[in-house]
Amino acid sequence: MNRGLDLVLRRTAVALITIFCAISLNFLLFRVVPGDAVSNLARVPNSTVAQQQALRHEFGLDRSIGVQYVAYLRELVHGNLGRSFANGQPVSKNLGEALGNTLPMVLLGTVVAILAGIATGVLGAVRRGTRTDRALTVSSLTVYALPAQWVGLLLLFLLGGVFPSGGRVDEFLIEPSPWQHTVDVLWHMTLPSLVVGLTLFGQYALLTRTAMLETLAEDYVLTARAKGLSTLRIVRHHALRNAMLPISTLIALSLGSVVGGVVLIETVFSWPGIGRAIYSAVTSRDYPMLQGAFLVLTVVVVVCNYVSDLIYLRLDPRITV
Amino acid sequence: MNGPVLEVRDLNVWFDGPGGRDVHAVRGVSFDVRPGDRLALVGESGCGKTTTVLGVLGLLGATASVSGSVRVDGQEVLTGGDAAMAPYRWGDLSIVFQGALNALNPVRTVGSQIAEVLPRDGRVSRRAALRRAGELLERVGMAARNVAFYPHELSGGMRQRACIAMALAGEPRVLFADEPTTALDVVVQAQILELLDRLADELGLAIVLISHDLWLVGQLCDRAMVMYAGRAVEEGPTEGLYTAPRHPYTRLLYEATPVLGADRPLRSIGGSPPALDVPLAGCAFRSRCPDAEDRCSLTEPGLTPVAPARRAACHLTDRTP
Repeated sequence: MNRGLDLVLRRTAVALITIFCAISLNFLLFRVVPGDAVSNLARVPNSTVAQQQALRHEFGLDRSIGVQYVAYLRELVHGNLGRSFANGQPVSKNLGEALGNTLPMVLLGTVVAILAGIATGVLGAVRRGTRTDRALTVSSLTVYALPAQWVGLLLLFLLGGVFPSGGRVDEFLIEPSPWQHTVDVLWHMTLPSLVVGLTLFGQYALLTRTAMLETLAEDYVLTARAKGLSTLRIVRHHALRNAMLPISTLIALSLGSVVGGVVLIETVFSWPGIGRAIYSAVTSRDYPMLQGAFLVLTVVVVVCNYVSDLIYLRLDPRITV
Repeated sequence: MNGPVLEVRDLNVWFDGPGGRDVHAVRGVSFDVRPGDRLALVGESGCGKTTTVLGVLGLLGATASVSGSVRVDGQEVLTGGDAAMAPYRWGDLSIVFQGALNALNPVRTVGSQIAEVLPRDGRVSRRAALRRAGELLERVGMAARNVAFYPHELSGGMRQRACIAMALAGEPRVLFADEPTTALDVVVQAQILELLDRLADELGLAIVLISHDLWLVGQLCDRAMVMYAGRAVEEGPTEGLYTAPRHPYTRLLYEATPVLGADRPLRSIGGSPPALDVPLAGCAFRSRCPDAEDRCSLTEPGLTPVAPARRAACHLTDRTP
């Protein structure tokens, strides 16, 4: 147990340091790009240099980088990410809403992809070399190779009449009950979640199959067979239990990247999530929003990695460092 | 009650080879195991010892085809596939594998791996099962608290003891031991040997030892079958095999075994065993045999009685007394 606590503390420290580095890089990134926020605002006709200077002073952009950095960190600690240029709302509020819309959609697709992918991979590995295995592998590979936005468009084309083609809620639903609202959101969520699920499913299925083939060939599986255990028990408690080590890592990694990777899917389906927030922030040069969004994405990735480390620790008793 | 527990007749194993050239790995092996027997399968690497045992236990993969007859208590188990063998696995026939680190599942405790094969008469609680696992560990000279250990936390000798405890969990009547001491140093080797010897006496276990080590075989077993190129070439009481080998291979194998303090030169056997993916003409050993004659390349000699309880497969047995 001592070992576990020690490792958790270590991993926590590493995660915190990583987040700090990401924050600093994030700050620097927006200072090294040519043109500051004011030069952009100042493209307004008739703006004078004096007005620009006044704006710079107001935003604190005339102070040294170091001072700005300290101010940035201070405000960050207080949860202040600045205000969006686009709608004047606090960035944290905008991003909170966007993340709240993205997470359920992504999680639904990912959970389905994980379950279906693992089941497919296990079946393929257990039936290795049979027609079932080949069919599963080919379809996994195919799905894996398809670009997400293309799958999205295809689904829109095929199922656009059945499921809503965009948005998160039906704007014309008047005073829906909480239940009606939930059903409405889930209904709108179906297609984008399906795309997320489909694009993840292939890699989960393929990795599970490979990992399972490896563990099924291990001596301890031979031992388990000699012990007269049922196939189900051999697969679950011996082969899959060990195969879960690489699988859990992939799941955590892909979960982190999928939140940032939904830009295309959310744009296709007009899903008001973090991906679309980034897209519109880029097109409208909304620097505070972008900076905040990047911060959220890095934190999500770091947190997913951190959780993956903890799960791995739980799954593999051999880990000591 | 005095009938053989296990009867193996004319066991043949083929492996699918590349280009349809199937490898005939075990060629017509027969043996009996009676309660309390100490039988050894001896021969150099690749002679089919392990394949024979895995074939008997029905543990060869899908690439192998097995023919012949395997009876447990007079009941044929080979033709019925997995379903026919399943009730005898571990309960009657259990096995200790070579290299105990890989034979144990690395992510599960030793105790849980022992407990999962305990006979479940009625509902045995997890706690009771673990207590029983602890008793089994004590029986093989380990501390009961080792049930909570993971395989990597034990030394090589301890792991092998744990494997033996696991093999005893089903209260078997025949224990196969596949090179159980190969990866261990001599001191631990002797301890494991002593342990097997004691357990066989106490529990009335029959032991089938697979080994290339003639010294080991002499220590533990009273009967041995020498195998070469997938075939039994000589069998009989271990005493006689050393003092008066009737097959040249047995004699050369003995001369190739180092014995401390023995005043004789150590000799290796030149050449290597024949490829088994082409039909053999004549005696399989003739290319390496110092005494080979013309007739040895014509027909393959069968096992013929050469002395009381002794059989050898050599054309030249009619020559030497």
